[in-house]
Amino acid sequence: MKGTMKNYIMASLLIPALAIGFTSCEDDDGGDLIQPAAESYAVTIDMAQMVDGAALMMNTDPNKPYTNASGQDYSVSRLQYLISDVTFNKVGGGSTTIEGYHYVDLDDTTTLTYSPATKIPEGNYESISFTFGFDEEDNVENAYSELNILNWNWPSTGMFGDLGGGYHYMRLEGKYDSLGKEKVFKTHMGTARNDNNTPVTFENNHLDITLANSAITVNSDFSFSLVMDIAEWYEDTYQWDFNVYNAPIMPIYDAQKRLNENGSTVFSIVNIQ
Amino acid sequence: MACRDDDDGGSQMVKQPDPTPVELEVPTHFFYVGSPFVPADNPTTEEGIALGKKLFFEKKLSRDNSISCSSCHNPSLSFNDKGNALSQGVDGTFGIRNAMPLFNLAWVPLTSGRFNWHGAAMSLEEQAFEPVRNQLEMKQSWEAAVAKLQADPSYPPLFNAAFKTTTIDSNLVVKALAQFERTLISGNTRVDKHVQKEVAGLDIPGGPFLTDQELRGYDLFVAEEKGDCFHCHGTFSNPLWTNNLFMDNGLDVNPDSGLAENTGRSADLGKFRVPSIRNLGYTAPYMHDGRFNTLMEVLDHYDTGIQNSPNLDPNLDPNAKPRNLTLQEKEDIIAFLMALNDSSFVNNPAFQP
Repeated sequence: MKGTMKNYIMASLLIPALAIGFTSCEDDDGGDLIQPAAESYAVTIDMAQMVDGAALMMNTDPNKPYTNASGQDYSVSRLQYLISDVTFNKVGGGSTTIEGYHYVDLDDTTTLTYSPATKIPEGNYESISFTFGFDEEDNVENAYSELNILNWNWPSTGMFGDLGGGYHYMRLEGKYDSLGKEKVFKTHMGTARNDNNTPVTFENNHLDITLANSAITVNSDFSFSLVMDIAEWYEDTYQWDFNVYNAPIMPIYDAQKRLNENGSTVFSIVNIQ
Repeated sequence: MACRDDDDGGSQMVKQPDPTPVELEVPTHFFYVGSPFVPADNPTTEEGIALGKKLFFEKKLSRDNSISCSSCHNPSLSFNDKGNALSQGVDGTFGIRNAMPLFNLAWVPLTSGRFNWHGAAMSLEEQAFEPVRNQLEMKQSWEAAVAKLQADPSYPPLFNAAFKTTTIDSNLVVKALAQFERTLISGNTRVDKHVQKEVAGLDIPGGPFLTDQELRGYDLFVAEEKGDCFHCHGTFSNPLWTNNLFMDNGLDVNPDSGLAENTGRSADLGKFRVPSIRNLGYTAPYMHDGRFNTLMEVLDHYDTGIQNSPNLDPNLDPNAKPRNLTLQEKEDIIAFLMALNDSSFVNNPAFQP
């Protein structure tokens, strides 16, 4: 996946078209009637973060308030991630997708609330799903200026640097205690480069997540909290060992795939209102 | 307001024409980082830029008329202070941090961005207030500076053209300076040409623009297991070559307060603005206190010299994985960095006095 003007333009085409709020049907006289579609409502998503069910505390050094499944105490100093294509799946079929992405940086409180422009039609929905990171269609090299300026890119050139391109999905960083010595971890997630194949192959590593207990009836503006439990990145099912995967892990295929493996239990939904 | 005689021989007030809007000249591949940010209350105009440039070189802004902005921000050196770790102010006093080069400042976000090494100012306009009144720099009250400008017959007409008033005040002075500074755009190096042609796919003549060594240097620059420079300084798709954020790069165990001086947060202790890596060939010495004279010293610091400072950026911790860069690898990285020197920027006649 190399950066070209062509795929920049392709990405531009991903910008959602304006929703058309009317449908056409025939009236009794055979003429066209324009009838309003079902009412649609605004959704506000609170981007929340926890560790083992308790609210995340950042920058607690020298204290390491958290312990992973390998018994290593750790603290968190940076958490940035992105979700995309939040989708409301209707009972009986059909769905509404909020095209686009939302970037979260815990150092920027304005990113902790996601208020997409797309409104959700009234109705009964059996679940809410979303993509953690970008899927293949949206993980387009260099396409998003807001992310480029944050150096959020996943490198794509050179012998060492070619990791398949696109963007980071997450940067989760902090410090941990290793046999009495303090070390850092950088849990960066993105495209997985498989060096075992010849030629090297790249696997998109996003997560398609359908939230449990996310059924909702939409008949007014509504909100919910999308909770990331950081502890889940490091357990269930792979028991993460910071001494094996501290930093750098971007070029390590197994680390990337294990994040993907553990990621299915990271997110939950609460406070649907 | 200006006056003119009408046909009756009397006089009437005529409106000062509106200043002429100017669209900043942005290199083609800067679409990767979006449009420059220009505040709604200080649009860029021909007249504002011209006034800002005159003020940038104006020594009356200093108490004894000895120095101007350009004394420490020399356009021929990418608006950096020639070889000086710390800059000399009025009466021979020295500042406490290295003068920052000035370019591509229009891409610092308007609401969340910060300027200066320690993030003291929230806008270019706000930043321009400080050097005049700073007791280690120009040592002059704004009242005195404005009075000098008001008494200089060349200035009221220029303020009138730029802001439609002949009454000078400090807010208009900093607005004009900021307008000029937003025009300081650097984006015409061999790396830029490489990006335009090979990355963005634009149809430009010439090339290849980078040597094999420079490309190896870039490879090392972005490889997390080698240089890992890109997490702060970017890739080919960020022509600013900075994230405009603040990081602790492990210079000292007990660091300068840095950003914490302005935020009051302990988590910001020792954090400084991530500088762009453009034009490094003109801007030695390096770091916020100018402690490193050469780029090799800088790379040696990142390779083996990182100190375990309280808020050390996780991208730099040598305890996780040492970089173990060879001399050849360091030379390759430096070769790449030198390809980011923009001679057309430092020689741009529009930026000279």
